[in-house]
Amino acid sequence: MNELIDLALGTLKARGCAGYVGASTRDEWSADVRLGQIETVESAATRGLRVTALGAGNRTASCTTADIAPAAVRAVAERAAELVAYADEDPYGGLPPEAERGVAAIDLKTDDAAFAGLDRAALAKAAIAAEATAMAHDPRVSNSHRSGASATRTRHWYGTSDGTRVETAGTRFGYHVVVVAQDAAGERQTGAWGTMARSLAALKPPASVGGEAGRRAVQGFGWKTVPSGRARVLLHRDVASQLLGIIGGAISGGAVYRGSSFLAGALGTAVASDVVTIVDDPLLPGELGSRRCDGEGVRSRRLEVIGRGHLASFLVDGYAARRLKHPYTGHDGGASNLRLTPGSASWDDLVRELGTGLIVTQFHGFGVDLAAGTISKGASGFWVADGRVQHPVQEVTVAGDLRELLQGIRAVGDDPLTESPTASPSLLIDGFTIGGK
Amino acid sequence: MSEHLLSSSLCERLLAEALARGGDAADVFAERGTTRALSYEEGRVKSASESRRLGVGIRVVHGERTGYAYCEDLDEATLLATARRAALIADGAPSSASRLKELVGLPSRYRQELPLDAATTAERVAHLKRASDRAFAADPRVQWVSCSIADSDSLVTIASSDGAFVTDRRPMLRFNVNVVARSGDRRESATSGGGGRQGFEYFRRRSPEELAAEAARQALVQFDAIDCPAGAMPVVLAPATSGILIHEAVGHGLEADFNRKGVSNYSGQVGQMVASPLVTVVDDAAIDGDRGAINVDDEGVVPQATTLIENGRLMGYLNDRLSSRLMNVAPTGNGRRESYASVPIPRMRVTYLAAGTDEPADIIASVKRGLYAVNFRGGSVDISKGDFNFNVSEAYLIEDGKVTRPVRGATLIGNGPEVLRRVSRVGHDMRLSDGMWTCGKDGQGCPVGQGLPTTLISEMTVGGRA
Repeated sequence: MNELIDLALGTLKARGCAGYVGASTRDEWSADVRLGQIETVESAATRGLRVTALGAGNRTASCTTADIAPAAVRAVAERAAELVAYADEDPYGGLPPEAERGVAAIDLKTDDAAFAGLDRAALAKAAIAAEATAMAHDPRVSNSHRSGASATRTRHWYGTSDGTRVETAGTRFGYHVVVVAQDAAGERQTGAWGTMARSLAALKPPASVGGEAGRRAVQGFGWKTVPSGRARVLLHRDVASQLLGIIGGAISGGAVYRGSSFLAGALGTAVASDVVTIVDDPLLPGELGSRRCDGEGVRSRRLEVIGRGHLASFLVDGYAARRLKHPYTGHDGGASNLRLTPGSASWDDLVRELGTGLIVTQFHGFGVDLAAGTISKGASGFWVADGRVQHPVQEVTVAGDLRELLQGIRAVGDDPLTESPTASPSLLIDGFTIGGK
Repeated sequence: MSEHLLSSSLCERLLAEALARGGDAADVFAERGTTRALSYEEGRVKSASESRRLGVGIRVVHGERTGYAYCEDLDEATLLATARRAALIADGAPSSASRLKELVGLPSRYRQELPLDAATTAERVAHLKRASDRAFAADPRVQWVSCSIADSDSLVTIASSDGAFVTDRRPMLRFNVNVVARSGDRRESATSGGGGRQGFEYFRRRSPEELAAEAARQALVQFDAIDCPAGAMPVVLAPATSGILIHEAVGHGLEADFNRKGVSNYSGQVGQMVASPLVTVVDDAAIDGDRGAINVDDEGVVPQATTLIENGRLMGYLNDRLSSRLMNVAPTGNGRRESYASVPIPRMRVTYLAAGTDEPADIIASVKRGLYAVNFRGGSVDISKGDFNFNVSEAYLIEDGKVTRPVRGATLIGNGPEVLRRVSRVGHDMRLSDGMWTCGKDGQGCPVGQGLPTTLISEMTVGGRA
């Protein structure tokens, strides 16, 4: 692959362009299972190459191709060099300075050798076993759809016209279960859970994945809606992690320089209550979001994004860094492992402290306006009165102003973080309005 | 007769190899395409890009089981190896494929008066500049404008073991304007866009200026908005983009894969009343030039209009070949896929609520206090329970039969069948949304269309902050 990168960069040079090339190959396998049987098996070995040409004044154009025969690579490089004529000069374009580039000297354990000899049937069986556990959890769990397993290995190569060469590889294994429960009245509920990891050995066992899916499928039966109005809300870690993802979007360099984020002008100010500390750490061994460098070859580093409520850094790629005059952070490709630092409150403490209000276990739909800083989503969960869970809640909405909500974070749970690259513990928050009856 | 990506004799060899271990059916889907895109920010072309796709997916169906493999080569040895990988799903004696026969008389639903390949890069840039200039001219509060144009040309050849052999050349145009406006410390952003399976004549119908002015209008109106009230109330849906309600509340639930597996809330209800008698829902592939139009589906079935609900009664589902065989009904031409890398599944095309007879103004006038929902960002649905939600980007209060103040941050939620039973007025002003929607299912994105006339839902739960 490095020869193809040299070929593409050489072609650009011959046409008077600098530039960079990213190439990747991907081996993937997935199986859908349903009611104890394999339903669909997919497999593929694919690759792609992207040539970005930089012309005079950092005019930028790129071309991608799935065909990586030398003739095709030369052709897309020539096309990219041709296309730069149509782009305008851009004072913020170009490559990151060499001093910023490099690969962190650490084994992140992202590439599991188990991929090569993977027993695919065994992984599909894990999904089937998890499905069986979910179905056995409760007699009302009676149907299944879209359960499955997958394994992928991706390799990346990156090269620039000024000599950087980076090569990385990563594996991902996972399986998941989606089951449907139906009660005597014909009411249906869905429960889903899964596990995903960089190494095969790190996957959670089928009994735990299936049990969780089964539990989730039946936990909503007997739901009621609640009256509309303002209420204190406890976001379970699954939805708290989604809120964290929204914050990640609001501090991404692209949204900031376009002014399309409510946090655009907030660097250095208190944007959240002082119980909130958020770190993006690409150097955690074995985690899904880990990487030794970003997509532009900028060295990865641990970065405190919000420290005790103060916004300390945006997540920038090279373009946003130059444009915002912000230090390089290594975020071409977005956040890595974005984590809200756990606090000390147990789940029971949080429920007690919630007093009367809504536990949200699921958000539904999009409902986020990053520019205005508003969130408005469908929600389900449980109603709590006097520190005790009363009944499941569905078909309600929760809405709020993100500035107020971040300031309104009262307590942070001590829950273990999930496998997801963006992970938060449960959060107790003031400032949501509930829409129900 | 068209130029095929793979010859019929090669496809026959691949189908034979795919069925060498048995199986009920097999197909080959080959695709070659180019997408060109330009992005424009701050009065300059920020980037130009072009991407080239080439690949072949081969599928073997054996009972309810599917084997799928794909490759990014057109050479025969690689293709045969890909067929053998797909064939691993079966393990019996070979089954045979019918002799391929080219489908003739394919409809022509993407005529281009000003073909995309004839448009120059300079012309594309000029359109972007016109849009950007117009958005900035709309109001000094407009701080940032991003515009983009992307168009693609895709050639697909499909060969099916039942004998269908067809090649379809599919153009797609998409133009987008995003505006960020600022007033004091408040920021608002809005997007407007459109396009479809058509050429540059699209801009005769909607000019870059019109799209830009619309994006600016939607952003600026939010500065006058008050917080949306929360709770249950009547909702009037404005025509066109509100069709997302039909897409989420009904469309997905009627996709045959969910119904064959008994997981949809509409499973087993064909022939029953599932909606108000005012509700007729159609999924139509034959709307010329629409983003959701297709001449042939991705399994080689020529699709037409499919009536899903007629005057409240459920008429049928959206089928792909697999579901139609297992459920013993005719395929409806809804087998679609994102690309050669994906198995076809039942997907919508252009889904709309048919026009009624009410005067739109009368519908609004009939509401004492409620919400008038005009534009939407997107939505989703839980298939089993039928609960859907959608996020409203532009809405107004209705007070005493009049549309009054804009509201911000509204979300609508509800249960599909329940909301369809509460459709109490349907206007005569059915309009299709401009082509900007991509539907997501099983991780595959698929271009779709949608539409709706002015419609009153007697009660829906509205999410907001007031």
